[in-house]
Amino acid sequence: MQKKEAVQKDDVVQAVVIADCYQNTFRPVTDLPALLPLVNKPLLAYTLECLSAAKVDEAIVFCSFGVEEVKYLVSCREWGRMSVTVITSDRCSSLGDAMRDLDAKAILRGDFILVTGNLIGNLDLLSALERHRKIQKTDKGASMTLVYKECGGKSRSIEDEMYLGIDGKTDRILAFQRRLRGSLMEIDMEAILAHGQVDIRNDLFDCKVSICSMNVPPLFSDNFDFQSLDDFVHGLIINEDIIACTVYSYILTGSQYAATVTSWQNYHYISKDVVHRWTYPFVPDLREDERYTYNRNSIYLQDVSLAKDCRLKSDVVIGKESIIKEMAHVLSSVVGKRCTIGANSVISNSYIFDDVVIEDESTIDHCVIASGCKIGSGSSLSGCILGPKVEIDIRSSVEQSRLQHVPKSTGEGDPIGGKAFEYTSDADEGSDSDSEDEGCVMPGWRGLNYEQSKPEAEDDDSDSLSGESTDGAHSPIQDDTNLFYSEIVDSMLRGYEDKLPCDNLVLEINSSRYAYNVPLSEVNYNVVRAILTLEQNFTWESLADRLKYFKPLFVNYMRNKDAMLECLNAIEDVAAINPPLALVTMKLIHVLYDRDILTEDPILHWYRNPRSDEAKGQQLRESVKRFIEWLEKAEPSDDEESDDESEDD
Amino acid sequence: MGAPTTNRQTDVDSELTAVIMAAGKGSRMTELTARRPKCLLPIGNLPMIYFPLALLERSGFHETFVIVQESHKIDVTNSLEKCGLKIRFEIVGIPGDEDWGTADSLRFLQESGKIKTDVLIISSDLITDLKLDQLIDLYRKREASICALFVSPSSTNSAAFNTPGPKSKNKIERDLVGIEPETSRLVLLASASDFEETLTLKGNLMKKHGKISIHSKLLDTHVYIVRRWLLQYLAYNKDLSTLKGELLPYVVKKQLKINKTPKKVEDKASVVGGSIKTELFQFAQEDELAVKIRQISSHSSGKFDSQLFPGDGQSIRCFAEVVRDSEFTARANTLQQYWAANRMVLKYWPPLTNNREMLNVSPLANVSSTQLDNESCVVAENATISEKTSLKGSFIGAGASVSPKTLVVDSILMGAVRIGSGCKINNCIVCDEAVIEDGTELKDCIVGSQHVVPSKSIHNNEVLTVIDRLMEF
Repeated sequence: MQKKEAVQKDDVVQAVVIADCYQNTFRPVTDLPALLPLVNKPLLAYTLECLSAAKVDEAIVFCSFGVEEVKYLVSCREWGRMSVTVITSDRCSSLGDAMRDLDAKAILRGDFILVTGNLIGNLDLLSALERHRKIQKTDKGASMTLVYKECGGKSRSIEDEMYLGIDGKTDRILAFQRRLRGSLMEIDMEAILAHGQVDIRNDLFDCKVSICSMNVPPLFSDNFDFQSLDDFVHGLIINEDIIACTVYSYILTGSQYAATVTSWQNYHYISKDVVHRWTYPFVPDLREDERYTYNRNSIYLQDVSLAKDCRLKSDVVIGKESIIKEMAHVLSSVVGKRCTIGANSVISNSYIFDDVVIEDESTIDHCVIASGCKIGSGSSLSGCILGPKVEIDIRSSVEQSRLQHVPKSTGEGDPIGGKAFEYTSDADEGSDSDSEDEGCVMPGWRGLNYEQSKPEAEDDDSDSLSGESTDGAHSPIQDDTNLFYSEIVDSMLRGYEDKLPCDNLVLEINSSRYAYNVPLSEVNYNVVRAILTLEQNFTWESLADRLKYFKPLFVNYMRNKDAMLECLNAIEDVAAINPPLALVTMKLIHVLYDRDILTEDPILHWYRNPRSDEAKGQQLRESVKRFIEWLEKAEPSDDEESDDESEDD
Repeated sequence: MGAPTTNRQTDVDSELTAVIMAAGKGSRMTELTARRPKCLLPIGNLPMIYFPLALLERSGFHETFVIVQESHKIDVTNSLEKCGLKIRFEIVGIPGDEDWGTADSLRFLQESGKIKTDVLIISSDLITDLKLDQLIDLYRKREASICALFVSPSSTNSAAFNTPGPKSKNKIERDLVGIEPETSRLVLLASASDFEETLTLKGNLMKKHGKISIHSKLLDTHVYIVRRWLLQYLAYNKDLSTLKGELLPYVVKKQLKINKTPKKVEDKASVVGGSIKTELFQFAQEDELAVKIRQISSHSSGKFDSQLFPGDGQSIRCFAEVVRDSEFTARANTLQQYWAANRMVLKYWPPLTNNREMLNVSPLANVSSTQLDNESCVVAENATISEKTSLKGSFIGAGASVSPKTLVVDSILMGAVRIGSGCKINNCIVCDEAVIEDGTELKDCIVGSQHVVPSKSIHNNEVLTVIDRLMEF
């Protein structure tokens, strides 16, 4: 404690709160998630409380729009001894812009704490700051300390997953990569060899709290391509030689909690964490202004009128003056103020803001319903995000969509109910929304549902399929083929998803081929196998799409009879393991034949000379019999032609 | 040793068969191994292989196999008999003309039917003050398929010694060792030279192990405990030749493979036709009863249990013990390390040799010199040290002779070396039966066996051998 006081006396501890989120993740509910209520309290209020409790002296709230609302919220109450100023700048479209603006305004006097307005936490920021200063003494280039919390790989959305390489001794961050950028992690060998022990971590949750040195805003000014914090960290690691600045990690210990809302998924878990009191003392029953009563099974209530036979199961928060009617069930949900939940309704895993009316017999699951909405009786909503003032007609059923109360300006939105229109985000809609798209590939829209990130396909595949590829299976050399295979799958998947020119893939595949010294026959085999199994979807539409994209690969590799045989063998092997493919095999071979990728000879040779007596191979041949017959009929004429030609010669 | 420990020692013998790999040809130090097997190179006048035997002895083993090349069998037996070790050893000869790796040797032993238990493999060039208890405990606790022992480098740095011979770039072979710290599980093992610019890790690997520490400066002691089924696998898969280079990385990699229940394996085998991977898993099948016992057992060691023993066929498990408190550990497989071991051996004599009495000057030696530094020199039997000589920091082998007016500092003179009068030998290795004629000055040199250095020659940082070819090294 003495030390901490020393820190305080030395200088004023400043914190910068970035209230903008620079993304449209939370539309149509809000553009300013800092004002989004979480367990019936705006996120910004949590952030400021957290800073105040951590003995920060001065908080600077930076926002580019919604200024009046932010100012109102800040002025509503005292924040302990902490002074709060609101700074606005209308030109900012990214964190980088905000930092550059701060640099120009020169308000910061020393090391400062950088958080977003979406932070919830009870962490001890001063010890993190102290640690940062200690590091600065030994490493003059230390620019930033990022705060992480161990989470054991659970309860994270894909956006939150990341790989870190941290020096085992100094906690310096040597590698930083988001899971979204690819499932493989690459670390510079130099970094590994220079540090005796590098910890590779996939079990950390990014709290989005960072302790910054004075030189951080100027660094943003110098490198105008830094948009997000990720860009900054990445840039510093990559250009260590040029910029000569370093980034460190600080892992929260004990019961400290910190999390930043960045998506609906983690809004969902963080709400749960608050209800489960991980954020103590920032829990509903300890709020100064509006206290809740804390009941058994994590049920928090505040002047609620409950019908006698309504049921509140567990993890339920209900705000002031709300009415829960007869036989309504509420579980794992948060309900705001002045809401009405109709009789016989079922509300589960949902977040209902203020002044919402849900009429009788409705079912709401995994939904966010913004304030002022009205849900007609007998409706059923699942996985929906409703913007403010949406009205849903009686007996409607909506799944997995985002709704807003006015149609989009173009007037195209389909009215789903009286005042409910499908919300679609398109890239050039908001001027402020897309700055980060370059830095981070956002997956498609998702609601509250937590999806387990998919296991890497390449491993499952190689496991089920490999081994049969060639005879040389008795040595580790065969592993090279596996490595080769998984590498080309990676290349191809990336190329396919990003629609890169297919010719580049040929180069990549060839370089992988030489790297692992794979014979051409196996290259041909594995390329075909990879194309077929790139997605576990063997419907004709999906296959046709792949064939279309990868046609240049076929053209490049299927150059002679042997290659074509390998291609057919690959099809046979994949079909043996994935029965759906067997159904479309004839079509597949036919199309390949039509496009001149396969010629008759190899197809007939393959058909007549099975590699083994396996039943599946026979079945498959049976299923393409019709095509073969057709081919055989066509063959003689073709032969004659070629004969004629030879005679002519 | 007291009675309680004896019980435990017999346990170790019935549980593990120790095998010392001593058939190495010393390809990284050919200057010295022309006429003497590597495992018999002297370190503090003891044959190198003495040290791993002493390690086994203090770790509670009573018997061990020693694998040597057939042609060296007699030499090794003879020199070990002189060492006075309590541990019993059976010397197994392997054909020397074939280039066998460690896995080949092990397969040979397995096929000879001499192995009835799991195996502890140890390399003949390991000079360490450690005990193997920690490693054996890890193997027992985790029911490991393979356990490896690594040592975190201590302050003893071989670079501090000026190694004889031409100055060479000290190319250190470095390993990348990935260990999950919480469970000691070995998840990655590769040579640093396998990667060019970047190391690529798979998402699956990181999903499975939240935290992986990648070490790049650990010393691999080449001590492994290997389950019996892996030996059976070795006998089956004859393409694997070395333990460290091939078998171990292969098995480590296979840990990540999707677990297959035994039934599934059978299905696959019938469809695909025994692929190698299914074979490895088939060898790794655990006793069903043991798996059930583990599932039912209330014993739990935290995360480890739930993660590693979900009962879904995680039958391949590699672990690594990293020891940080070793005062001195070296693998004398390079000239640098061999030299460092010799320089350090007297300092750590008691822990390295199980408190063996240090007999600096053999009673059978003929020492007339008054300037023999008893503290830093070891003189073997039948050595002749004439009067008016000065010896410091040197090991004099059996039957060596040093003529008058000669100075020998910080050097190793092996058996039957003859040094003329008026010589100055500083920081040199002189191999068996070499002759250094009068008035020669050698500094930082290696003299090959049976080589004759003509009188009055002066050499610095050279390798002097009969065969010029070796000069390149």
